[in-house]
Order: sequence, then structure tokens, then C-alpha cells
Amino acid sequence: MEKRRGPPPCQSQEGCSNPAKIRKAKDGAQLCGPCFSKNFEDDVHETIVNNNLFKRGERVAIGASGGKDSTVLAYVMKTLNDRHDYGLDLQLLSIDEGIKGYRDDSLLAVEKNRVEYGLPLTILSYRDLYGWTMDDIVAKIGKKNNCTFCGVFRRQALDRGAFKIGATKLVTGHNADDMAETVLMNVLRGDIARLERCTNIVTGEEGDLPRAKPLKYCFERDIVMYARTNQLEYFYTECIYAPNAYRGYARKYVRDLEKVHPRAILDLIQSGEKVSVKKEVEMPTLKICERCGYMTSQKLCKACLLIEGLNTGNTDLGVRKSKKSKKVIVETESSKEGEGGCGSGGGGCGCAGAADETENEETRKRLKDLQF
Amino acid sequence: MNFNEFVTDLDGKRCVKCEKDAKFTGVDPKKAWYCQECFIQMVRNKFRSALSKKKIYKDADARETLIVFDGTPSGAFLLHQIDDALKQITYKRLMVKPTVLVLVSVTDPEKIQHVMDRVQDIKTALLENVDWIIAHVACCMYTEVKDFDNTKCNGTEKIPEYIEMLSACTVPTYREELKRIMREKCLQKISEALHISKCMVPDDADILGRLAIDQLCLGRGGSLSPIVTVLDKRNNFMLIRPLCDVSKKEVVIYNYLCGIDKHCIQIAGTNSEVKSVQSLTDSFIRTLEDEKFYSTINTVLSTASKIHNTTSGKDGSHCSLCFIESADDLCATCLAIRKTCTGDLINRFIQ
Repeated sequence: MEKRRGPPPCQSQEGCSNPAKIRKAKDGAQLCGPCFSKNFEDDVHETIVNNNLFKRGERVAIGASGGKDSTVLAYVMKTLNDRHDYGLDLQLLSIDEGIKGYRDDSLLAVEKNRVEYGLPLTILSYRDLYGWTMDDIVAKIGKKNNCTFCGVFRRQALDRGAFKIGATKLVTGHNADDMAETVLMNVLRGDIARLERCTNIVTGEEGDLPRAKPLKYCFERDIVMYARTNQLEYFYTECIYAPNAYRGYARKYVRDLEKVHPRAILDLIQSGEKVSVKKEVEMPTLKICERCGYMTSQKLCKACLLIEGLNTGNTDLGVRKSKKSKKVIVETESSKEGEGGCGSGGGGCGCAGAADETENEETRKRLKDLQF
Repeated sequence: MNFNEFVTDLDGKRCVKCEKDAKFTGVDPKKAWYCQECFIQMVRNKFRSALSKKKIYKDADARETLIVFDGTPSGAFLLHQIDDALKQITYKRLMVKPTVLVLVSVTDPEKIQHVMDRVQDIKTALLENVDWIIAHVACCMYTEVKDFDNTKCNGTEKIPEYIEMLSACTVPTYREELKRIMREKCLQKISEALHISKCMVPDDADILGRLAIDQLCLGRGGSLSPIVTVLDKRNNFMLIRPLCDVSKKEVVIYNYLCGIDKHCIQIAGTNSEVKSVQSLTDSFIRTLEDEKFYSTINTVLSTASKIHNTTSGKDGSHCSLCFIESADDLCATCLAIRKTCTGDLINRFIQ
């Protein structure tokens, strides 16, 4: 019996005769490099068109961290915008969390993207916005729960940055694995409100700045292969503070799932898409933060609560549900009545009533510069 | 799970109910501790409240219930609860007319005989005066309604067909899921044959929590509620899971304290090395528990009880294999299962 030698032929539908080099994780198709790239881009284009993600003439901010997902997102968005004439004004937006040896290096990768793709870049830092860098926060609270701070701050920072550059939409590089992980995390945490909306391809439509996820159905492994095939330079070091996160367990589980039963990734997303909260279950209502005006379901938004905890030394505030934390916030509320600030006198928080006047001035100046 | 695995704390803890020395705790040792009597009462209350909250036995005409005993500690616990509830002479008496169904899943004839021998012993200690039926899970393969014999293990002649159908499923995850679906089909068939519409299964919180995550990974997130909560109403059949709030740990401690751990049937299982979504979920939950995230299962089940399908109630049609809400004859998962099956035995379950 004759043995087959070498790689199988490319399974592209366009009748390509090249040998296959890549197995697409999403559907197992064996493709050559160019067909894989074309197939990947067509997938993203289909997602964009089927979900009417953009309107012609929109200014779209691309959340860019310098990692593989955002690098691929920026490249694909630019490629598709040119190829299919979406008519979008694309701009890169980065957040500097202030993590030495991690974010400063990854921002160099974003800077390269700016030059190579010819897209304008805006960088905002946690220090400017909140008065704290992640290094400061970890020095204060330790490595446990620091991802809670980073995640909450980054979300708000991206929104504020997008407003600053006049974008009407923000796109992020969340991929299928991230979505699957998020569905799982929301179930494990019992966060039904987020579970119901976390798989929406566009979120925040009720507010001023909708967020879209064009890579929602792209597998992480395919994104890595796409970056390699197109020789995209990205920063691939894991965040130095991330390993202790609870999400790490979910991430490992999702990665194992992908190896054993790849379809489980899309099935997890589908599960999230099918979920609806029963009528009789009480849901939080969306309000405005009394201090900074950001959307929240409580009196204060999570970022203000976390900053308050950092500035007052009660670092459990907004992280753990404890009677002590609640008591502290009640006390802080009553003691600060009339001030309207979050007590971040020493930290330069963006709230209106920061305690220290000098810092207050500085904060106001920063906010003015940012034109929120 | 063995009783000796649990550490009993005698270090000055007080029972949260009666101020006696506390010795036992439920899932989370950081939460409530109980003395022996209050622990037993607490576990019993969980069982009784699962039934009473849903008012399952409100209707006086339909009290006949199939009580499934599968030889596990949870199965023995369920039998003991029913036995205990029937003996109550106060208002606490559970108004149920039980028929015990011993559900056999081993396929080796010697092991089946061992199960039958053990059942004879157990019958003398628990629910002696009610009907007992022994049936193999392969009863799911019957195409017609059949009379069940009280003196033998019913359905053994269908074991080869059952094994053939499972072997025809080439994806391990789907094979495991098919086993679960077939178990439910089997219970439904036996219920129909015996004209008993209610069926109580010994699925505890640990099993249901894992099942919830498995089902999420199979794309059935919207249908979690009927799959893992206390009540799953189907056309003329009702699956009841009264142990949905009781953890395996609580069951094992309860069984030990009440002396019913000897009523389990221990069968050496074959440790499958094949990886599947189900085996990954099991090890994922174990890791979280080892890392002291004790409330994972409770949170997952609580989440599952609060959600439903986005298309819920729009047309009321169901998947003919797994019975979740589906606009098509087969839901997407069952369609994928059928595609991975090489034979046509599975087609007899599809309308």
C-alpha cells in the first residue's frame, strides 16, 4: 500500500493547490498560509457585516494593549476597512496601567503598530486618571484581588479615552476563548446580570459609547497563527500580576476544553447567548455614579469605591462583601456629606471633591486636559 | 467519598442551632457548624423543603412515585428519607406512594447478580413493604411498553444493543452525554410502563453542579434550569431531584450518623482514561474545592435556577432526544451527537 508523504493539500474552497500548513482550530480545516489568512479575515468580515457592527464615517477606537489579540484586531480592522471600504476612521487607544517591565514594554509594540499601520495613537494612564498605578496598588494590597482593580479601572479608562478622541464606538480584541471564559466566570460567580449580556457582540448601546468585539468567534490559537502568518509583532508576556487571579482556573479549564473538545468553546458562547434571566428574579438597575457620573448599579461606581478603599486604607472595599466594608462606606458617606469627593486627597482621583486642595487643583487640570 | 475524609472539629465551636458542642459542618467549614442532632435535622430539612417548596404532592391523585435507587450513598440516603417520611405519624408525613426502582448500570453478569443479592438484604431494612423493581438502564432500548417482572433484573437482554449504541458514538464527550440521556429515557419508559408519572432520582448537588457546567459546555446554557433544579416536567412524566441542595459530603456524614452507609452497593468501576468535557469538569471542580472555593457548586446551581432560554415559551416544542426546548426536532447538541454515531440504533429515539 502506498504511503502518503508530506502535508495534505490545502482544503480551501477556492481550489488552492498549495500544501496545507495550518489546521484551523475553529473548524479543523487544513489550509495553506495565505488561504488561512484570507479565511480568518473573511470570518471577521462576516461577523462585522452580519451584526451591522459599524456605520460608515464612524470614528472607531481600537483598544490596543500590544498583545496578540489587539495587534491582530488592529491589523485586521485596517485590512478590512481598506479592502471592503467600510469608511471608518480608525484610531488606536492604549491604557498604561503602570506595570514596570510589562506594560511599558508592551506599549512599545503598540507604538510600532502606530507607525506600521499609520493609525493615530492615544495613551491614557491610570496615574493620570486615578492617581494610582498598578505597581502602587499591588504594593498596597498585595497580589491577591489586584485584577479586580485593574479590570474595573481599564474598562472605565478605555471609555474615557474613547470619549477623549471623539470615537463613537470602541472595539476590543476579545476572542472566542475570552468569551467562553467570561460565560463560565459569570456562572461561577453567580452574576446573572452580566451572564445575560456578556456574549452580546455589541454592549453598552444604551449608553454613549457602544463596545464591539469583532473577534468574538475567533479562536485564540487561530489569532496566534494569523499573527505568525502575517509576521505581526506583538508582546506576549503574561501580566506579572495575573497568575494569582481566580480567572486563571477558568482559563486553564477552557484551554483544556479546547484540546479535548474544541466545539465546547463555541458552545459555551452559544450557552451565554441563549440565557435570559427569569422574570421573577430581581435585577440591578442602571444608575449614574454620584461622584464621577459613570454608569453603575450602586450609589458609587466600582472604580470610585475601589479608589476610596485605596485612599482610606480599607482595601477590601469593593472587593469583598463584608459588613465591615459596608460600615466603612456608610461612615465615609456621612463624614463626607457635602464634599462630594471620594476622599482621594493624596491620590489625585478624578472625583470633584478630592480632599487636598493642591492635589484637587492638579486633578482638575488633568481632567480638563482630558476633556471628559 | 468516605466519612473518614472529613475532619470533625471539636475546638470550641458551638452548634448554630442549639449551642451544644459543634462537630459537623456542611460544604463550607467557614460557615455554619452543627451538633449531631441538628446536623441530621438540617440535612433532612433540605430534602423536605426541596419537595415542599415546589408543592409537588399537593395533588392527592398523583402520589405514586418511582424512587430510584442506584446503589450510591445518595441512593441509600433517598431510600432512608422516604422510609423515614412514611413512618412519621404527625403532619410531617410525606404523602407519597413509593415504588422502588433499582437502576442497574453495570453490564457484567456477575456484577448484576451481586447487585441483586445486595438488594435482597437492603429490602429487609428499608421500605420493606413497598414494591421493588430491578431494571437495567438498557431498558431504554425497548421499543414497546413492557411488563416488568419483580423477580429478576429487567432489560438485561437489551444490554448488547445498548452497548452497541454507545460504542457507535465516536466522541467521548457525546458518549457520556448519550449515557445520561439514555438513563432519563429508561426512567421515562419504566414510568410509562408502570403508569407512574413521578420519578425521584438521587442526583445530589455535586452531581447536578457538574452537570450544569457540562451542559454549558454543550451549548445548553439556556435550558439549565429544568436539567439541574428540583423539578423537570415533561409531557406525562415528572423528574424530581429532591437532593439538589444536599452535597455528597452531607450525604456521607448523614449516612454514617444514621447507620445507613451499609445500604450502599459498592461496585468497582472501570477508571476510564479517556478525556471528555465531563472528566475535565470533574477535575476543574475538584481543583476549585481544593483551593477552598467551597461555594462553587451552590453558586452554579443557584445561577442555573434563575435563568431560562431566550426563546422560552414561544412555541413549546422540544428536542426529541434530550427534551430541552428546541424549535427543531433535534437541538444543536443532539444533532451533533447523532452525526458522530456510526450506527442507526440512535434513530429509534428520534421522531
